Amino acid sequence: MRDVAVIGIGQSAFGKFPWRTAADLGADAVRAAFSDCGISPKAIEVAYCARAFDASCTAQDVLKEVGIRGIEMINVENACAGGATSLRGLWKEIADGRHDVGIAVGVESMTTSPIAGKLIPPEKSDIEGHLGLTMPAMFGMVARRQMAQGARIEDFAQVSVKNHHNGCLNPQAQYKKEFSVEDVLQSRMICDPITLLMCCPNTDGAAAVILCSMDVAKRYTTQPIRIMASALCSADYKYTQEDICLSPVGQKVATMAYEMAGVEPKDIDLVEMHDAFANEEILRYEDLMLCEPGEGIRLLRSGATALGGRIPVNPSGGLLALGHPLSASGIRTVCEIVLHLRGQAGARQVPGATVGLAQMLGGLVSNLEHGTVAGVHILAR
Amino acid sequence: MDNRTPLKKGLFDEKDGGRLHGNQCATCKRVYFPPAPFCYDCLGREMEEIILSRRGKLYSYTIGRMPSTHFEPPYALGLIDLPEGVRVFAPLIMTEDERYRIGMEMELMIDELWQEEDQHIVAYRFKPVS
Ligand SMILES: [Zn+2]
Repeated sequence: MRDVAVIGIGQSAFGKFPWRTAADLGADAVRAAFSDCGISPKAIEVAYCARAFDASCTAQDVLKEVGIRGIEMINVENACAGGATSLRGLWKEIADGRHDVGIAVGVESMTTSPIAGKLIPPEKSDIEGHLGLTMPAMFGMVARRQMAQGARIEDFAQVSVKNHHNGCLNPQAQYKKEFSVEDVLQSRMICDPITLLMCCPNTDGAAAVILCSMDVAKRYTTQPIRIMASALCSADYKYTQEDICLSPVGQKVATMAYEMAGVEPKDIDLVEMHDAFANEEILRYEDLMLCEPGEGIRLLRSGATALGGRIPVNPSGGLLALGHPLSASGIRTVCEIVLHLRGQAGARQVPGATVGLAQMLGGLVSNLEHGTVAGVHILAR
Repeated sequence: MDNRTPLKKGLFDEKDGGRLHGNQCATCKRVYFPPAPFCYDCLGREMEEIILSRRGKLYSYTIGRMPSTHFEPPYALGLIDLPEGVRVFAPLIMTEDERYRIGMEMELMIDELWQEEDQHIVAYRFKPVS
């Protein structure tokens, strides 16, 4: 297996742009990735593209905007882990020696998707969906379990305060506004105890990364970022998730990634992760073994996961401040890690970062664990 | 005229105040609700129908404050652990004075939960044991 490097990263603006097409957003991200590394679109040998809603040949649609055609293009959907899936697909092509240079894209137009501003009627067979089960309802019930184990509602609010603060330092965040714990608690109640400011907003956006084999990378850049681990796995049946606060598949993928990278959780300098709901971030500290089991709340309260702490989590502002264009987030998180490893993250830079971890977890499929697919990438300079 | 339609056939009946129908793997004894077509655990094909207990413990709950497909807010939802080892997601009754707590004893009821055209959709929900 060959070493694979990230040489170019790019993002579109993140926000609500119902007048813009997915191809248009995707092309912005792709152009940014090319100008980041200075290579020609003609160098691209293979492309992966993730999109969840209204997808039909999105890779072709996006890449024609920058002159890329006539190569192998693979379109994928994997809920919130779509971006991570597209990155991993490309990583495999290059690690296996099939190709030397490729691009992975994630793009989503949430404001034009069928779920924009309303709930999609559940499938006829989705009994739980008809009975009222939604993502916020699930995370409301998860939050009640966390509170029974010592979490306070102020802890959930604190995650939102932290990530919105980080977002204020990120020129690409959709919401650049500081909130207090009080603000978060007093925002509209969605599913008790989850309030509006504890939920990630619906957002349009795209992100892209250009990968190549490490040998080739040295031709283009003096600062290649190495992919130390790429792990992706799908969940088990629901009956195996005895504690809804734990993600068995999330833990499994984290373990796979640490083993592959040959690093331990204590070696990680920063984490970008799926904080679709504020209380979720605390659970994922434990899945990713950033602390001992049951110590997530204590880790948050210690300030370790804030900027300036031992292990900053979501220095970008996370999904809470950036919004969550489903398939773009898994690539966007990797772009953020790369910025920090290069020392280019500006006001939110994690000083001296050498190893970073990007995690995604998502999907609600009846009869399977909630969080149906998990992906983890570990990168290093 | 009967205009009551079950949400899904074979999931419950209205005997004895309401009963949920599960099934159990003849080989490894794992219990499923809704009934599984085969055992997801050991892949055994021989499944036996069972009637689940009407009472269980509230594992967790939430109060919905935004509309769902069929319910206007506020509405209560919960996960109930039944003694057979299954966890059931179900609506809970919503009353002004009802304060839900994890671990509370809950009891099954069959009810008309919403209307579709001229049909009353009948399904299960839980209420605290009085
Ligand atoms: Zn079995």
